[in-house]
Amino acid sequence: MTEALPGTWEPRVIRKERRLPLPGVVLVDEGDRVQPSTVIARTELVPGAPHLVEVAAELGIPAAQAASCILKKVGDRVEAGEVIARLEQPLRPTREVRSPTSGLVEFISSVHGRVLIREEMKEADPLVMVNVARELDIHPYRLRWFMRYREGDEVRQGALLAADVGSASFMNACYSPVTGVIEKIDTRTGLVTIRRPYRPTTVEAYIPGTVERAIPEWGAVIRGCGHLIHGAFGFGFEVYGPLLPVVSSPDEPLTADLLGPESEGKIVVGGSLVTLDALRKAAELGVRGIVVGGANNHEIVSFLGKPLGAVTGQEETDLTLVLTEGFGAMPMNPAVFRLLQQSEGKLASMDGSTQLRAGVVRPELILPVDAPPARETEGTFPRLRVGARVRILRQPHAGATGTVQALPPEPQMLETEMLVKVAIVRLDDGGEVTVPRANLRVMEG
Amino acid sequence: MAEVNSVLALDVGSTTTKATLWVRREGRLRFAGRTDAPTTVELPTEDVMIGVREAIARLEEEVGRRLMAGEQLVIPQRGDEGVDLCVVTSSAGGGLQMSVAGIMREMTAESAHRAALGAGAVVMDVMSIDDGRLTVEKVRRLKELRPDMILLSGGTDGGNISQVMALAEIVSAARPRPRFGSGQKLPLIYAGNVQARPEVERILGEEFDLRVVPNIRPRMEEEVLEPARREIQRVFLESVIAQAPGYSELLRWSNRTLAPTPAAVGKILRLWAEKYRMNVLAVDVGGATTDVFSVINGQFTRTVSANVGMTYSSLTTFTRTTAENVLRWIPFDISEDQLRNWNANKMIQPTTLPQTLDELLLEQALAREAVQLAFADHLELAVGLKGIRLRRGIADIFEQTRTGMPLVDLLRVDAIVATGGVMSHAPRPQQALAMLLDGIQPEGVTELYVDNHFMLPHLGILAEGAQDTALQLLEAECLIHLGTCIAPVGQPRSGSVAFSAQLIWPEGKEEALTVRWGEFYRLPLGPGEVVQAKLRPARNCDLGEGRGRIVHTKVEGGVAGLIIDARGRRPVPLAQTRAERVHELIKVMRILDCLPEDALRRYEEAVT
Repeated sequence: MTEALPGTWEPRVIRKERRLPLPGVVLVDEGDRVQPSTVIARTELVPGAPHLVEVAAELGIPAAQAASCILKKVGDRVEAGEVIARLEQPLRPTREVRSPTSGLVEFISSVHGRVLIREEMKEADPLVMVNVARELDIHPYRLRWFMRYREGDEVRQGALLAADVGSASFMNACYSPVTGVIEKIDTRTGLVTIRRPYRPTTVEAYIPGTVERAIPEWGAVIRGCGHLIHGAFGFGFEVYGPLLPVVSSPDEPLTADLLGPESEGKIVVGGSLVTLDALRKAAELGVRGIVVGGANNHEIVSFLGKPLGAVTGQEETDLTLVLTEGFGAMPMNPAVFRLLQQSEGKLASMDGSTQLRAGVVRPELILPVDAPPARETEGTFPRLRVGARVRILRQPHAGATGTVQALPPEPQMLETEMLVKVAIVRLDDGGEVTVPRANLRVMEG
Repeated sequence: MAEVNSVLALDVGSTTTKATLWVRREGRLRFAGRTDAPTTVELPTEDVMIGVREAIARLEEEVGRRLMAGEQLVIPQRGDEGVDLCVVTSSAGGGLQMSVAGIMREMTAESAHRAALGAGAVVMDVMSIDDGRLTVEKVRRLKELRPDMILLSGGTDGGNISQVMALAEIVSAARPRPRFGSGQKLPLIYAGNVQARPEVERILGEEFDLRVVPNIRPRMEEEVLEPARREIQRVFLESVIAQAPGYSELLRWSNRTLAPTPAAVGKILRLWAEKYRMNVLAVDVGGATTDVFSVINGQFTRTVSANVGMTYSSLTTFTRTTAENVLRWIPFDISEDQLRNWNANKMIQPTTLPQTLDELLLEQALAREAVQLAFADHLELAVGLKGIRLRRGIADIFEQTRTGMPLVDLLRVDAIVATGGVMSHAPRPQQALAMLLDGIQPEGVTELYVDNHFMLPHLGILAEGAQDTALQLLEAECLIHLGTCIAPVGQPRSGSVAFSAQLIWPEGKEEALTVRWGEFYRLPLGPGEVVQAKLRPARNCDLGEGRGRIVHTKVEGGVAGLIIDARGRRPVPLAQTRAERVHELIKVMRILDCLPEDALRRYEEAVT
């Protein structure tokens, strides 16, 4: 742990790469001053979804025959509604299959008679048309009889759009190719139009600072200064707002009665524990984030409505939480608490995303400072040495802080009869204890 | 191979890189020392050699022997410097990650899954025509995955090829990119219907680094996994590892003997099982996953329970079992809330150690559940082939066996090995024994072992070039013989006789025993002591040869001696009340000598 988690929080240079998920327009220049809410880049592209067109099934012919009817080849560009396959038969009407979207033909299956069209990343016109009447083989004016949705309904990809139950054993069905809202059910043409939810994607600066480097089409690198505090666990997205300590000591729990309308839009600072009621009230009030020592695991699970895992950051909640110490009632490190208390009303940025496997990412709280640090450092990983300030991570002294008095070279036997290398630590509140070195986090170098 | 005087084994794990040294003394290789250092495969130190050199430097300090000259390993040994052989295993960066595909979920896809797991892979996705996903979903999933390689199977030789082509088309449409080495073609191993090879080459040949091996299901009734496994390991070495940062130097040091860690564990277990013609089961309780290996009648199977583990997966392990299940193994009072918080803290502080006995017992309680869950998963995948026609004789009329039955019958398992941090580093080996007894619940006559210092992977890779040396080290340095467990299975009636036994010592001493249902005790029988045993089960009792059938066997002692476990029905029923359960737990711990007596007394007093 001592090497994995930097525990220092003196002001340092903080660089943040702000990047769009898809290419777009960068709205800042190198040297620009930015605030957390400054929009760095914006894109109106939506990711291209794949559409599989069942040509053989739509034409009602064996799969092997479909290849001869397909008019396009891999790499061809097609428009929404363009004919991509045609079956001409003597004395019978010509049958056609149209593309449900604009995009590139990515793949043609000669085995199953299918065409895969990759929708283009395009500007916001996310309308998808589905010829439901043709797929059900019904007259368009009967379309509404078979629809499972009405205009304005939300529909998920793969959901049954419409079905014609011909007999007990046979059903003609049409599934939604995308997730979206039913825009129009056209009983003249038999087409159903689905509009996918759309909003332009932007990326904000997240921390105040200067644009150090622009990344054309994608974003920029922001250089700022501040205290960087890594928590032990968290959830929720990047947020920013003024700090609001609501408790007076690091071992005081954060309960619902401590939150009021003044908490809206703030990052609330608690002490040892945040209760489930407080989490729920914070979400109701529009609190941006909570920084606190600990929380009960089952209360977080109840709040989020799903079990926790080793990776967080994709939760469906607007509230971001950072636990500085861990699970249970854990008084916040007094030094961190003091710093947060002294920063009341100041702007802070925080991100609850946690990833404990394959490249550890811990949740963070950033307290920006105006004055640049004395040295251009991005923080170091302090090593365990005599005199180092440490925090004990595990029972029987979990949460206690102290100073390393000695590092005996020979392994020592613990109560568990395990033989390990230990450190002798003088605790801040008195007494000297022996602790396995693996259970220490170095706070200051 | 010339005589090897020293071996350096490196295991590049996901969090730590371990270095172990063996040196020849008094005619044989002996364990000299072991150290570890953080693994450095990710930014900002994206070079595996930094961690490797640090681990070796610490080892040099610990054993007082120079192994490197500057930044280079001295190989072969010169005087007392360097080593003759360096072997490497790796599971860093998530190990070998594969995606497999087959036509039918329960047939070729399941065979492909077994082949990949047996080769030491983490299987990210199993795709089949009948897996219930839309084709678009399959394409999207495969595209997102970025595996190290793909194993494509499907069809029996001479069968219809259209479904194999359909699978190949899905893979082609997805065109996933390899994890390492952008610009490289993704390796794809085809192990399906031989008649479909030209079509598969046509569809996939250009976009993928296509390798063709014999069909893993040439006939419905036959499964041939070995060629596919070998090819997976060859591709891992040639294409995957060579792209990972810093590995090319490691490959040079190890003379290109580098394998995924689980593959090496599987290799040494198979050799050991072959040598003694025995059925072996092994369980590796890791931080993120728990692997179970079995070699039953020569057939090797490995399963990975991806979300069952002691650190990163401790919360998901807890979710799969229940708090009540974990609490039944704990002899002191702790609320469900405290247990959940302890468990969550274990996940966020994965490298910390238990300092108190309470904390140690909490870890070992979770490990028991991890073993139970992973073993249940193993029983699901380690099964005979499904959907095949069985030949039945007249004698089978009354026993209508089904296809796809579990291969592992605990009554026929000769040895069980425990490995992984919580097992190998248990302060008393008897604690590993207790975790095995509660987690697996052996049946019949079973020898129990724990891997000392987690050496199995090193020996597996060492066996590639020096099989005899590896086996000698396995028995002399790696496996601690915990003891032999005799556990009758049947319909117990409390107090009635389960079996009687006659034990004959080499010097002629004889001892007769009568074991009653419900009894649990151990007899002193030290490591290396072997007695002949004649076990005569009661009519309702089975010790491996069938109900009421006499078993003649050799019984070898160990750290805990000979364990008689006649608690009967599996899973062993636990007492109803909390106090009774704690007393039973303490009784078993006392019999096995798991904890110091004063600690046991303290727990006992607290509950009464």
